[in-house]
Amino acid sequence: MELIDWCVLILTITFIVWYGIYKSRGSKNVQDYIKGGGDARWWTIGLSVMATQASAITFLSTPGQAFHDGMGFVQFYFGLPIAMVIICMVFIPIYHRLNVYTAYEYLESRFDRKTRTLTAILFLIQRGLAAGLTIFAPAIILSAVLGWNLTGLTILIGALVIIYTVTGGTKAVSVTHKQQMAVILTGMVSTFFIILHYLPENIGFQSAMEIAGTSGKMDILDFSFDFENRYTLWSGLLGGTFLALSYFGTDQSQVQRYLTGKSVRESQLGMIFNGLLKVPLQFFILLVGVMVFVFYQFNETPLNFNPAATETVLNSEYSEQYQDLIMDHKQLETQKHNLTQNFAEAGMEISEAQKAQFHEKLNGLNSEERDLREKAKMFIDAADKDAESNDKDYVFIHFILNNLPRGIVGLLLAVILCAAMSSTASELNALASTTTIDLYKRSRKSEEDEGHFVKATRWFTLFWGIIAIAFATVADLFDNLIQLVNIIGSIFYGNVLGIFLLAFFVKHVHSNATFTAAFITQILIIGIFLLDIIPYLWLNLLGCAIVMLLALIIEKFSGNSKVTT
Amino acid sequence: MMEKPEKYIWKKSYSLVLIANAVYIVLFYILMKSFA
Repeated sequence: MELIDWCVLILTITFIVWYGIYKSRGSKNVQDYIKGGGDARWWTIGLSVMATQASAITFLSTPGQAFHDGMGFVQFYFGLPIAMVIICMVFIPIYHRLNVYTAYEYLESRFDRKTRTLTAILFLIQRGLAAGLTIFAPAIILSAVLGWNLTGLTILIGALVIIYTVTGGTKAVSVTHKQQMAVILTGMVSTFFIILHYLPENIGFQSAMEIAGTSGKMDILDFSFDFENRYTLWSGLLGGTFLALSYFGTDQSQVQRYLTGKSVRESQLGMIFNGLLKVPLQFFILLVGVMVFVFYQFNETPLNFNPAATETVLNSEYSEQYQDLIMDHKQLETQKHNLTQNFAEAGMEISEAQKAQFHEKLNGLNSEERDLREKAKMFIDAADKDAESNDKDYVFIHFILNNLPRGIVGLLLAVILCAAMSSTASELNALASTTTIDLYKRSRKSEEDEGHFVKATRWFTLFWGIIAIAFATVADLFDNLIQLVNIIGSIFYGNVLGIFLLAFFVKHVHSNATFTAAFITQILIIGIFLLDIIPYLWLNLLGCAIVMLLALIIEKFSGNSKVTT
Repeated sequence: MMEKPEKYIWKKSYSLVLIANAVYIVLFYILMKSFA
């Protein structure tokens, strides 16, 4: 890191924190503090929704995913536009009509207080843990690569977010999201063009795409019905719709973004904006990863991009075998670079037959390289089962630090920190709002003024910020933390979505049936998870199906036919 | 079960989102066929 990188990084982050505090000064009532004044326009909502979803791990992981596995991950987002339409048609008009502060508040007007409280608590458990991970995940990668102190970095990210989120509430979160998205887009677009510029003179965009295609990186769509393939067109359309509906429709960290809308129309347009741009944005981030892959066809790469994992294996009994692998990899890369250089130098003079021959040879060498990387992972796992041998999170940051020009490195680090801050801010903001509105305010017997609840929300933001930082600082004590948080999410998310779907679409089901069904479902899902009957990702769908089915059965046998609106 | 009450109003912008995303998928298909 050069001085100019530090300057760019520090100035960008400081400006955003200052801007958040400055633009949100004077929030004195709950409407201002939790709903951001309720005057947000559609572009603010759209950018805020996108910034909330795009965490630091999105920008660290996604290009690495494309580097290793190609563009297929974009299919994961195909269900999102469908979910956006459902949310615009059903969720937003109801939330606005009831003028709620949180999604769970609606459940009391539809069912009763106990259903609202149960759902709010399920959200707090799941999102409270996820907030810690949102800080921890980028911190551990940046500390491994840059040598920065992990605890210090975790506290720094958390503290910066706490400063403007506590001070300005939802408005500060929304206005900083716009700046953060501007930094993120500038950084990613700059990187894309810099990579193209770094390719040899005769390698234009089309040749780069051909090289990527030869190596299987342009297999964007998978029409198969194979359940073993995680990303297919069908899993994207069906599973993606379901997941996006849960996340954008019932998770307060997203609901709070569109509740800030000036009107139903502004909120709807904000979500439409997200539905229009999300797939191209993800496609573009993956394309940056593919261009990093093409760049490395002409330049050296490490055998494994995670420096900590490499160090672990080199200090183990497998050091000698690993060094042999490194030598084999170097020889392979030399062959590959000779081949790609010759291709680049030949330029337009190359015939179609020669081009096909080049692609075949390159494909063979890349296949051999993949095998070497797999062997490297096996040695890392054998050296230390807790070491992160999957290096996809480290590919892009390795590229940034070793290849980008001065100043741009600082900008890209600002991109990663901005993304971490934007997601964390939304999470803390939502956790505090839910704690205040659904638990604290609802349980108060005495009438309090607005200022009291603004103060309470501030304290709860600080409280959840400290919890998130504390969880993030001890997170490396847990094995496979991301999986742990995903498991917790899968255990609760399906049940929560099922409750909301009952509330919106099955009008004859009442509170007691819903609450009993939700309670039984939660126990059943935890039981199914403990007995390891199905992969945990399916618990989402199962939880949603069970709670809806059980509620319908209980309602039928309870004999209560009064219609609730 | 998914009875559609009158209050759920379809807007042109919803069609736009769905059509745009269908077009993206077609473009991805063309891109894949061109380079894969």
